Amino acid sequence: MFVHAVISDGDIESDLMPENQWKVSAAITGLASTALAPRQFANRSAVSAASEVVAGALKDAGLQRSQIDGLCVHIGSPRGTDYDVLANMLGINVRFCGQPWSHGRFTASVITHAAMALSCGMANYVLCVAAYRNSNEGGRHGTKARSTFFEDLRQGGGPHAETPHAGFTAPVAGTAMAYQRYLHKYNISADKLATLALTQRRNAMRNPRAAMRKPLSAEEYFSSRFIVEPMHLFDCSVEVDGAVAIILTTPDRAKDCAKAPVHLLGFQGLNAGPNEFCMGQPGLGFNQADVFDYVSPGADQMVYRMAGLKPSDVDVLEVYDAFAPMSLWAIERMGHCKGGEAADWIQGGRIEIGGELPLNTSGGMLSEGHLNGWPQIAEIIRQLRGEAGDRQVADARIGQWGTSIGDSLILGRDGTQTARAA
Amino acid sequence: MTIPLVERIYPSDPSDLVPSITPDNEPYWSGLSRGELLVQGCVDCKRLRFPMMPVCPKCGSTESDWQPLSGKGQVFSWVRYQRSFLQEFADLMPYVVITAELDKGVRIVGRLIDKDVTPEIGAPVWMMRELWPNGRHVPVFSLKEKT
Repeated sequence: MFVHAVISDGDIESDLMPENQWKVSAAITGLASTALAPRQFANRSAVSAASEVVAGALKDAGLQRSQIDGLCVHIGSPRGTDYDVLANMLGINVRFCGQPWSHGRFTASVITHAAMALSCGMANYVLCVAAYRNSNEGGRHGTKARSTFFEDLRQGGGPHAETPHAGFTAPVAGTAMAYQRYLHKYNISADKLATLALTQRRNAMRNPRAAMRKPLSAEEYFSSRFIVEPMHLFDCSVEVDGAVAIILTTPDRAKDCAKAPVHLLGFQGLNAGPNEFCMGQPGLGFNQADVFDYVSPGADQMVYRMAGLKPSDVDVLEVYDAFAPMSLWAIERMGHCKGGEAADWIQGGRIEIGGELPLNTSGGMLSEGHLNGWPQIAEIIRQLRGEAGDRQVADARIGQWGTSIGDSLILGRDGTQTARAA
Repeated sequence: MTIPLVERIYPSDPSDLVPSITPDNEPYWSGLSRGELLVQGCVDCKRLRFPMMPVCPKCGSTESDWQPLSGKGQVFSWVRYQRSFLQEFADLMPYVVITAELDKGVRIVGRLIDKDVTPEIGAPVWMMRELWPNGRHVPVFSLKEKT
């Protein structure tokens, strides 16, 4: 079956299976995560942190180590853990492993691989692990001290559009370049972006695991220095050390686990191609990408079709916000508003806890901490379980993870049939 | 039309910041060293492409040629570095990097050599080149034409 979604020159073509033909059979049954803080693992290995959250997730699920037969890890050594070291150390015998490239854009794909293995019968209990020791990286992104710096010189340009000989390094720069064009293209006032940093800081203050819990005022935001103009300090995420483990199984097996399952209702992979730029939005013309007005695919994309849901069904939205403009682009891409409208759409309390669509309720990468989105996936699970404490969104049934290059997950408190009927 | 040479004394050798020469990008870099801006074009669909790559993303053709551009264009987008990431550019802080849209729609990222300016999107811009200690010529941009 040929299945794809193509966005080109602003026209949407879709050739998606009808919603009743998808055969997804995956639910989340175990979760554990550490608090997040910069450099907290300076004297601790990533595998040590991984072992802590794996033990926690097994306990949460009421499962034995010996039942795990699939392993999907994100980010290998030295920042994270490699699958083989982890399997060795944990004494687990797995028959399906996955470990994508060390970039945050693959977070949904790690969980998608687990779900695919379960849906195909390749594994019965898949452990997903994200344990990173970012303090071990030698230096900031964009500096030569960072162990991955010379990845920026790969043929055709760096992973975030870095051009070192132009003095153009660090992922913030790619977003800044795209964001400046976005402001111009849609005639947007840059001060609207502040709503994200300010709202998410208030959310983080309700989250004991968050790295940044001091109050942040609008005055502090607007008087903060630029890092790469037009990006303020508080528009940039906080790199942290931390670990998250999630266990997925089939819905029938999940019934026998300790906690009520959280159902994986839909997913879609990241998009790549000549008009995609991982730090921006299609249509903004990075390098030779085409210039066009961005048209969101709205409900006409795989993640919604698979779930049989639409954007307005989402109760909690978590988005990849390494830099604040990426949230605007993710909101647009996931169809919660039209292209070029997100900076207005986020105003007026809409994204607050208690608002129409609460966003990044645990603080997001800007304030909870940047661990490639894994703490935000954990937050969706906690919201749907009713375990989000002071941050709990009332009657949260549907949670979504989304990014500006299209990768997304939709999780449900209930299974597919109930979720669609509600 | 020659891409003008501009001088800059680097506080430390920046040579390892410039990409290695490969069969795919060699005509672009050797053109620059002669003062020529050569951009790869598809022989079949005529679309220009940058950065250099062995296949046309638009039509799949592997046949390409190298077309001279004047180096004149417009500011398409810009950023200003207010935090220093590379010591080679630390003496220039704060410095501006632009995406320049050149003739025929080719867009190239480069540092703006002008000091204390805030570029306007759409403003005219000219490509220039710096000679680096390893003998490589590196593209930069200026809001002022060198006469």
